[in-house]
Amino acid sequence: MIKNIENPLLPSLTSFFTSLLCIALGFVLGFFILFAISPSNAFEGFTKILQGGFYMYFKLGNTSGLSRIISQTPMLILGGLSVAIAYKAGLFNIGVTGQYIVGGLGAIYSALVLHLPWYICTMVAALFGAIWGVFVGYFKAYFNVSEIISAIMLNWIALFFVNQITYSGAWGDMFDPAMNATYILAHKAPSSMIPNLGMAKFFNSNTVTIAIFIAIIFAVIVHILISKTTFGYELQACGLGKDAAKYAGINDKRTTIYNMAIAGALAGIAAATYFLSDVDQWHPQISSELPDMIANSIPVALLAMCNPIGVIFAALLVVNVSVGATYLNTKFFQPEIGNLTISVIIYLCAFVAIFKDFVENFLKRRR
Amino acid sequence: MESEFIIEMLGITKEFGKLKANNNITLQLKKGEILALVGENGAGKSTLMSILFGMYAPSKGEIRKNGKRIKIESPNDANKLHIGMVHQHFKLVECFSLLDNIILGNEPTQGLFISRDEARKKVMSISAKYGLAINPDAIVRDVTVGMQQRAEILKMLYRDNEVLIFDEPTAVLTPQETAELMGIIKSLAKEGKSIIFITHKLNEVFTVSDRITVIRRGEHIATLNTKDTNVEEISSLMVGRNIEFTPQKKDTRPGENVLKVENLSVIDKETKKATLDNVSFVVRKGEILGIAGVDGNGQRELVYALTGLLNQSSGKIFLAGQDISAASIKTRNKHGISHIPEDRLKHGLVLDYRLEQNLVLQRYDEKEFQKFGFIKSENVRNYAKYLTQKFDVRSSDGVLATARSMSGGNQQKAIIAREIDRYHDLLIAVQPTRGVDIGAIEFIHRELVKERDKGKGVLLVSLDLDEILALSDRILVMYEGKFVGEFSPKHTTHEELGLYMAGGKRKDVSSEVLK
Repeated sequence: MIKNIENPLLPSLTSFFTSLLCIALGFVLGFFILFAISPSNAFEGFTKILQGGFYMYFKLGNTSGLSRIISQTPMLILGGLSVAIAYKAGLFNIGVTGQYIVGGLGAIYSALVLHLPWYICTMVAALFGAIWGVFVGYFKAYFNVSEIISAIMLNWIALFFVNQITYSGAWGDMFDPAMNATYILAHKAPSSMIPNLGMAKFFNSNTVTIAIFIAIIFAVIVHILISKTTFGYELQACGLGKDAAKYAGINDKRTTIYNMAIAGALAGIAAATYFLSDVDQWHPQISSELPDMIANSIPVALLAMCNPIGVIFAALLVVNVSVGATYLNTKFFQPEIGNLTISVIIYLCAFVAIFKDFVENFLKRRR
Repeated sequence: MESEFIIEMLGITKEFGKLKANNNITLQLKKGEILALVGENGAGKSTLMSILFGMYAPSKGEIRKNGKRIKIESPNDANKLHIGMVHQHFKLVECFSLLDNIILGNEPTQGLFISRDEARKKVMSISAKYGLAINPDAIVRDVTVGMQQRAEILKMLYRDNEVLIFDEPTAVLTPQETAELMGIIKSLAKEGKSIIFITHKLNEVFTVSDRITVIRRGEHIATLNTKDTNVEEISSLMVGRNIEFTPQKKDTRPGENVLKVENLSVIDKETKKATLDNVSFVVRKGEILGIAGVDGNGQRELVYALTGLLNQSSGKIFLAGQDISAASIKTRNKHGISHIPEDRLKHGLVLDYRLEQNLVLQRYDEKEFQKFGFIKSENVRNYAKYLTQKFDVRSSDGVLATARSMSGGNQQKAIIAREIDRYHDLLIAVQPTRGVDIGAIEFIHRELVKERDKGKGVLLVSLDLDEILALSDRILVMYEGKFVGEFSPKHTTHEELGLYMAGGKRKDVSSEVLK
């Protein structure tokens, strides 16, 4: 009576190829945009974007582009995971930015002021991010406040709150007046930096640390959490069928809050991998805008269709393209062209449903 | 060329991929007749009507009107050809008046303005002609379902439609309203309208129709004159085998109380009115207690209060002697309440979960299915395979199919399998056969009787009086949040129950029920 069991991989295969299709089309469109701006330089510019961080390596054999990829990707993987896990429960975690900012404060404070070891700093960052996430979850669960509205407000609160605390009128322990930013960890608190196990030497850059492995491990953990555990079952039941979950006796309020705590913690860890690797410092006076790189977590999660493993590759792609874009000849192109290409890809992902049918039929016909 | 038939659908085939929803179906509608179109769920009735209404294009076959070949490519074309449809779920704008709804899309205008007076004149003259009483200025949400339906019918007549399609029009009506509708349909036919009447309920078919077309699995089985056939023949044509209408039920003696409810009330948050008004009753082991009533008289609130979906209730609920009035949904689930919900798509299933995941919806956290928070997927799968085999739940991909991809009847069977197989003393079955076909109805009814015979308490809430009468050992009628009568199915009739359901009569019941 159970007949014709379909290949259980088919759904994930479909998603994978759909994403690939979006990416390919996005690049083609990106090329046309470059072409429209400056036809004679379009091809060269486009190869730079495609090669991304590898461009410098291919051209000069130097690893600076690669090291930038390796040091920037972990943050985006973890941010993408934060958005993805929230989305599994039907929540749109636009608050990843705020959770990241507050998590960053946790990391910077426990490093520069408390001089704690890196893993403790990371835990503090996770805790800070989780608290910021719980605000959103609590308001959503008990007062049905849209998580989008409350998260956007909390993002700005986080920004100015953290600016104030790190700057502290330029007399605080964290602010380096010479740099107009928080102190560089390598100078002030080298013991709080994430270890690099010799990778820094290999890539000739001290921002290359084991953060990338931490991020990948978390992707696997999130994958297991979502697909193998009772918590993941409850989470997705709430996301896919809120009323059915309630009927089944699943405590949706508790699930919402736990879920936002986890999403917030992931965003906090994202900040930890970034700041504890000295990729950048916090610039309290310049930072009157929300940091834009972490906001890319949302496209990353969407591109990966919220698959935790897919998030790794989506993050790599996004970082690669944005690094590649910085090599563009600024006489003809703005580096933002990289973001533009990413946006086009994401925009195409909005048509995923159409592509999905197309890809599904194609895969089915092949078998 | 004058044809005997106003509408002919000849050799209609409609394929969705490999699936043939309609296979060479022929349907012919005579002028001024009432043709009943019957068939199980998924037999292809809706597909066929969607083709006639221009929503699908047929893969093969042709449609004729008055003998002339026509093309219907959109509902607009159908309108122009004066073909109209009353959908099962009314298509009315909730916050508009009935008049505005009737003329919507076809408003008589003067410059930029709607000339409502003219519209009103036309609508009221049609209303008078066919006895379709409405209050044109009332807002849709304030009027009864019956009046909404009359507005839908007026909408068709206002557009001068000659061919009227009724898609399961009685599903939402009381017996009295149903009888009224049957009268209206007959008078429409007498005035020369040609009618296609789609329904599950064969007694209605025999009251009203001139001819019956039966389809099964996408194929035309027979078209018969109503007076030459009978319910048994039609039902066996529909299903392809003989059907047992009334489940075999031995007399049993109910045991002790499983559920005892005392002074249960639910106050609506907005209107501050009691939607469930101080009800008390018991359900005993080995009995089916049927709750009859017109939709919206407090049945939903009663069920929600019992299962915990609604926690703003006052009063006491005892399950097997234990007070569960304040218990969580999960506690109630685990301690003996099984619940076949009214809305299987909303509550009963997580539609995008696989069938196997849905079958452990309340049990995923039990020892059998998890260890240290990790789901034992093999156990889940084996259990799901066992359940689907035992209850004959079918789907395209076995237990891996998503619930969404399954047919309504199989979705309902899956829910019933899940609720019956897990530990419980009380089974609350709400509209358990809504929207499922005759074969599945027979199965579900048999399972409910089995439950009773196993000594479980069964609380059956249904809008379908036939179902209530066939299954219950005891019947309570609900009206405006109260019980207005208690009956034994052996000593009552449709008509008597209908009278109580409509609020025409009441007797004090709480005292005798609580003994």
